[in-house]
Amino acid sequence: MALNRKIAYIDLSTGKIEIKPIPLELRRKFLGGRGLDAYLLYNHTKQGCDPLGPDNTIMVSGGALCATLASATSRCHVMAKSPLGGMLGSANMGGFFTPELAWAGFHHLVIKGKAEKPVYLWIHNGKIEIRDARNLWGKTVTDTQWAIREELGDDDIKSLVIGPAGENLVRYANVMTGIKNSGGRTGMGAVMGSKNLKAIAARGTMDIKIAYPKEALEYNKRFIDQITSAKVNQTQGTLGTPFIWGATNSWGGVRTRNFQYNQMLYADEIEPESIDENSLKTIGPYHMTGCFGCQVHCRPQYKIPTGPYAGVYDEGPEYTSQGGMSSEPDIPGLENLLVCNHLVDQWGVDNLEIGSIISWAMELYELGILTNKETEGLDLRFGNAEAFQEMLERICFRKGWLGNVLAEGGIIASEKIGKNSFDYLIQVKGVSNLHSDERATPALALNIATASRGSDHLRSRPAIDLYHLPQEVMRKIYSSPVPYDGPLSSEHTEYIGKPWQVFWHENCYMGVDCLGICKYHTTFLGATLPNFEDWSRVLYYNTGLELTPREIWDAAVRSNMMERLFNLREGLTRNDLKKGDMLNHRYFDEPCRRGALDVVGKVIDREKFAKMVDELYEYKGLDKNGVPKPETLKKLGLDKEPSHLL
Amino acid sequence: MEWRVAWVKDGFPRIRGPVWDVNKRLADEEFERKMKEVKKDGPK
Repeated sequence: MALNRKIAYIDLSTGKIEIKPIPLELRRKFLGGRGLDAYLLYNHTKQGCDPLGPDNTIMVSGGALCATLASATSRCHVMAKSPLGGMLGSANMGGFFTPELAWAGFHHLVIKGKAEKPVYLWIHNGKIEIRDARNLWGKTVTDTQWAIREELGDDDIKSLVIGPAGENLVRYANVMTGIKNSGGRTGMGAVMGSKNLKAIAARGTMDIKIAYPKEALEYNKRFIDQITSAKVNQTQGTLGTPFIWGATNSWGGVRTRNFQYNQMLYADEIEPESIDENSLKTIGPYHMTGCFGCQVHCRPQYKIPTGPYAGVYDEGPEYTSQGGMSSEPDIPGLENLLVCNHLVDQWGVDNLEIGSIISWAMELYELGILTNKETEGLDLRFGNAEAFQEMLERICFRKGWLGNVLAEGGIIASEKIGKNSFDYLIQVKGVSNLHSDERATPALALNIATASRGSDHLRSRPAIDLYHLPQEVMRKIYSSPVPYDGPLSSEHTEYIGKPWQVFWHENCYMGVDCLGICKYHTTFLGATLPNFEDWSRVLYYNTGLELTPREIWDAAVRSNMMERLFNLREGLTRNDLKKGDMLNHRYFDEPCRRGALDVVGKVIDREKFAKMVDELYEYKGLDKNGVPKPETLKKLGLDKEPSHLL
Repeated sequence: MEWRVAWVKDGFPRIRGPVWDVNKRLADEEFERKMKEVKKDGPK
């Protein structure tokens, strides 16, 4: 059956490898992917360990539906204690790696220790080998993958790798696969680098038995219809995720100049249509590509049209690159966007984090907190593409004082830079905020403040809140699989009902992260897209595991609580600006200056925000301080953690 | 080149060329008006 894939424990210090089955009891409690990883992290990582030390444990996994007949289930999850904020580290990416890992016999890897010299893991049909990677060290993301294929003589090998940023322990380095599939946020690439682990290569030809293949295929047809008929996915398949940035910038929901403004003006060159036009010119009419088993194809391919990198191929840019490379530093040129997107892909660094950090440094420079002494003469003003690209390189290769300091992430950098630099750092739990501006959308503000891996839009964001959905549609979505008869508001600037929406999406996204499904196949961006009822059936037909929609919800609630427990163990305190569920003062004090007229002038109301947090805590079964009540843990079966069952 | 919103719906009007100056002027006027209100009535 699909769920007979194993878990492997790999100790890089001793070379010991242990392989075990995954008990169905744990599948029922945590499903797989991110949920089971959270359980493993809590059980196998010592409290207070150095995130870049050998005691940190890094998990790599596919979801419970990985490599089955279900659509878009190739998401790969990586989890460890984060070197960026010292809290939960978690990264999620698409691509082709986890199906290959499953065909090679594994759903979960638990890696601890530190190798004496650079190594990579070679996983092939039930066997795992630790191999010398000294010849790979220093190579870029794509060169590493091709070198592994060449060394092992198989072009079908799929690898998870780190680039130079991970090797240089940049605290927001990514784990990467393919050209641009990025396990970004929270520095999981730096954790791999700290273990001297350059890559994990997989190739498998082991059969996966589908429990009810006829029913699985038939249901998947319905799934595909549902997915491809949604306007949002048709748009994704035409313009890719850049359309999200374009739409958001139009109404004033994009942060610019490190949160000084909420809209990038004169952005014509980086609008989705402009990016699409370049792909059309440089690649041709069929320039969209996708991940394993996905029908959406949201990823543009392109070549850089002009300048020193002219003719270089890459994929994307995603909306996060438009944000990090263009709107935050206020650089309107297409060439800069495409070049920077290429550099972060090749060096393996988080586009959002590095874009935010450089933009923060740009504001500090314009304020005189950073001077030419620290920048070593670099004119680090907003809009300077050359300076931005120079800082990208300095950070990824830790060149110069400022490059080295900014590579440490915002919180450590603010301590080294001093003065009041921290006041300008737009972050939650040490993770820089997305390029979006949430001052006009209280639900989205609550989402980023309380997300488990720090400021993040993919943990609990009720993005459909921006659609002004009719009440009956909202009621239908948010009253299942658990009943809810509280208030709901179709108005995105309101505070009423938003905590329930955030709670609901938190469990929705955890559910699909456990199953391995891409969030573009959920209610993340489309009200008509698949939901708990669909996942229950898809899970049963493909794996034989019978869980009701409510049981999937319960597994998601339990998994979210594991992440909460981990963060609390590492020092989460409700109102702490560095480790809490709290936003930078600018959200409350500085009104939006641009965008649609209902957005202009908006700030987050402190009192109402605190009430939203209180209400969300109630739904989650937490007390006023954000700590789970004993009865909550008992109800979720987590009162005896750490349990070390696996 | 054609800009924005056409993907929302077939036949939806496309906006051509830069609209940023108009956008900025309207936002600046609205911001000034709202800040005057805040000053007059105190923060809400």
